[in-house]
Amino acid sequence: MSKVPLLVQGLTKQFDPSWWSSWRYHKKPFVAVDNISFELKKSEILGFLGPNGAGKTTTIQMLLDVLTPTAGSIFYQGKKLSRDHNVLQYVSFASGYTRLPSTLSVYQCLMVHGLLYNMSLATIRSKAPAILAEFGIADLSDRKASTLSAGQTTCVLLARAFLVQPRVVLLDEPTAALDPENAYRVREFIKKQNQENGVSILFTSHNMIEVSELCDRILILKNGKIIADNTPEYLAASISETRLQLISVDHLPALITYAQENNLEYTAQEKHIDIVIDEHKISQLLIALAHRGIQYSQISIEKPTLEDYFLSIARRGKR
Amino acid sequence: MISIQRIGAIVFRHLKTMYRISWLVEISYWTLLDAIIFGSLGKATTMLTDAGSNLGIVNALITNTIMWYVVLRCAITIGFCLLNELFDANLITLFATPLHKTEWIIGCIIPGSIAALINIFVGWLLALCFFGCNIFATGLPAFVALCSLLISGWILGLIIMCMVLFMGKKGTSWAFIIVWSLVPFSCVYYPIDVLPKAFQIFASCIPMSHVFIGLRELIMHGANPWPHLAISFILNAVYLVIAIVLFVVMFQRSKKNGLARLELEW
Repeated sequence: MSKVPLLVQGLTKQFDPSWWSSWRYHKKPFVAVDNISFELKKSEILGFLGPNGAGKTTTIQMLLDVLTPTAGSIFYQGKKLSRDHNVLQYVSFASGYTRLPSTLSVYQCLMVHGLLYNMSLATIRSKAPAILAEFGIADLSDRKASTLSAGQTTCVLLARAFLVQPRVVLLDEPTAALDPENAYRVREFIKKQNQENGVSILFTSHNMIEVSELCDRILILKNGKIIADNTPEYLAASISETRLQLISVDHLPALITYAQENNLEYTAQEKHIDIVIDEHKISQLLIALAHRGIQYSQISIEKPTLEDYFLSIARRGKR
Repeated sequence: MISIQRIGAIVFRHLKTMYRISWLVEISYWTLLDAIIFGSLGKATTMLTDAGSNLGIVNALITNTIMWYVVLRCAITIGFCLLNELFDANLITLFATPLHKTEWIIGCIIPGSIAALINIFVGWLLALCFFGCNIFATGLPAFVALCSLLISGWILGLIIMCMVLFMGKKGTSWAFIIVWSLVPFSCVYYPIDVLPKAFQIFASCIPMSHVFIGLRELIMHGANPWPHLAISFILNAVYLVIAIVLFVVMFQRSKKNGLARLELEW
């Protein structure tokens, strides 16, 4: 077995209804994660995306050994998780939705977590202030966890996750509760950990700009299955539809007529029209407009982004 | 391999949560209240029945009443170790670390036992001050009885945990109902013969009842308590194994549905 930081093979989770729900409400088994396989390479930041209910959280819970898979295997550093719980020594986790033990101070939260990873008290004492300082919260060390704001709590959770010097970190929407400044600080911290310490990171977020900025590769999960696995740039480029905006005061009605005649998807406002068009057909459209004598004062082309790709795959099943 | 350090982390986490003045008052309050009520009741009964000189009855009643809180405080504190993690939505974070179930259970049993020992110390002090009754006057048998009751507390604590793992939030009230329902059958306040025949059979299967019967016999009549204490240890050993197996089964079952499901209920 190769010693990749994380290897997932044929992971499946089926939730079976209780006998009562099955008999009374005819509930059927539900497959939340359907035979997925992937690997997280050393020093890689892997984006794990998908619409709500796609199975991301279920997968992360299985990766953390707090949910038993129906089938499949998880290997950390070549060691099978189901056989050896100690492999979690290499793994850490932070989520924007978890909390801290309310009665402990920030330092005590870090200390307890460090002890659970068999760190010595001396090491914890030396590392904790530095890692809190990275988030600008060194002064909160003695504050009770219950008195922290949502943003401060998230920073402490992240500090706690990286304190134990993990090789793999699972981050579940870590910036969900943060303001833009703190979110930026967290992104910079994640990049630094990844580049300087070679930490491999599995990262989920609904912020596509953040994902594009941070991730080397992206997995997209839908209905429990992986439907895409590539770089953010490649996935965005796979959407050929671009948004063409033409600003014209006098010729707007003519532009609308043209779009209607050619069955183009468009939205028009007072002074401009946005046309959704295949990137390769833009030149054709502009020539046609010139032939008809339709003039415009400004033109802008919006290239597809990861968000466009995400929206296209999210809508695919709904249409 | 069990890690003492990880157990220490769990113990610290829970002791830090429990350590506050209100908690110390809370654990002492009920012991104090029950000791005064039953101590006074015992005294009144002996006076009314013209047996005022028989201090043994009162001492046995006070000793058993205070000793019962060892079981109760230990069980409740262990149960609260799980509930604290659920209140703080910390269960997933906890088991997503290299922490093992065994280490966690030991880490919960230690604060439970500490709480029980604080409780017995407070009880001993107030029984001595208010009624002149030394609950450890019998010496070694009292300490052995205390150990047996501590083990019973661990068992009930594990059962509370099992109920919460099995039923979630609903399990909390059921768990405490089960613990309290054992009081009438544990022969804390009266001998086993007082109970109806069917209940006597049930009571004889409860380890605590043997401890309290043994202590009462010893304090009142100077009888040999060791056979009763031995039976209590044998029963405790059997139930402890059952409770551990049950806990493992419930934990695995809960993991099958996801530990997050439990957190979401709170």
